[in-house]
Amino acid sequence: MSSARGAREAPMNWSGGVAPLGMSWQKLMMWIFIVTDGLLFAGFLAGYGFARTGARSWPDQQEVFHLWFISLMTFVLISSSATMATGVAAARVADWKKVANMVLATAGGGVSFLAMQAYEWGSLIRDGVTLGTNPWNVPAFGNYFFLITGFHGTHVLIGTIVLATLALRVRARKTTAAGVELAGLYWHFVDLVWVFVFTLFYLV
Amino acid sequence: MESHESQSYGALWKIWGLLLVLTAIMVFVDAMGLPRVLLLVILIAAMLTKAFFISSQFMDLKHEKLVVGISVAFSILFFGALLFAVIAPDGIAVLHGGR
Repeated sequence: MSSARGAREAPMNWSGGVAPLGMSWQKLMMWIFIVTDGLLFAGFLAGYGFARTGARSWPDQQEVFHLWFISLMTFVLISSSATMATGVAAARVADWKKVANMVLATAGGGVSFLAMQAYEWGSLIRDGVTLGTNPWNVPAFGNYFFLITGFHGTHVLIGTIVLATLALRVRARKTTAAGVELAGLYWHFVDLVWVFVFTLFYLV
Repeated sequence: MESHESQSYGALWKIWGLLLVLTAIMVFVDAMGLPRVLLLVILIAAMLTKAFFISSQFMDLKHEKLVVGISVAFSILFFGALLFAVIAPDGIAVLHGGR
C-alpha cells in the first residue's frame, strides 16, 4: 500500500518529466512561446534599426504622432497588465469573483487599446501614410510602422479574445488558477513588447 | 500551480504606479531636446527598467528558478542586441553608399 502511494508521489518530487524546472509543462511551453515570439519582435525591431540607420532622414515622431495619445495607449496597456496581475494573485487565493472582475477589466483595457490603435491608424492613413508612400518620402517608415504596430495589435486582439473567454470560464468555474496564470503570462508579454515598441518606435 | 507566496494587491499597484512614473519621465525627457546620445541612454535605461519590473513582478519571473529567468531574459535581450549589432552597420554602409 505504502509502496503504491510512493509510486504515485514519486513523479511529483522529480524535477524532470512532470514538473520540468519546477513548473508545469503548460507553463514551460508558454515561456518557450514567449521567448520565440519575443525573438520575432526583436527581429522586427532590429530590421527597423537597419532602416533607421540606413535612411538619410526619418520623420520626426513629435510631428507625426500625438505623443500624449500614444502615452494614453501606454497607460491603458500598463493598467490592464496591473489588473491582470491582480487577477492572477486573486486566483491564487481562490477569490473567483475578483478574478472574473479583474480579467474582464483587462479585456476592457485590450478593447480600449485596439480602439485607440484603430483611431491612430485611421488618422495616419488620412494623412497619406500607407505601406509604400508617406508625405515624408521615407517608404520604410510606413512599412515598419504598420508591420510592428499591426503585429503587436494582432497579439492584443488575440489576448483580448482569450481573456473574454477566460472571464466566462471563470464565472462558470471551469478554469483553474494555473489557467488564469497562463493567460496572465501572455498578456504581460504583450505589455512587455509594447514597452520596447513605444520606446524604440515612438520616442527614439 | 507552483508554490510561491501570493503577492499583495497593494504591491502590484505600486509597480503599476512606478511604471507610469517611468513612462511619464520618458515622454518628458523626449520633449526636452537633450543631446541624442544622452537621450538614447536615458530612454533605453528606462525601457529596460520597465521591462525588468514587468517580467519580475507581473510575470513572476522572480519566483521561478534562476535558470528560467536567465534563459528568458538573456535569450531575448542578447539575441535582440546581436541582431541589431549585426544588421545596423549594414544600414550605415548603405547610407554612405558602400557595401
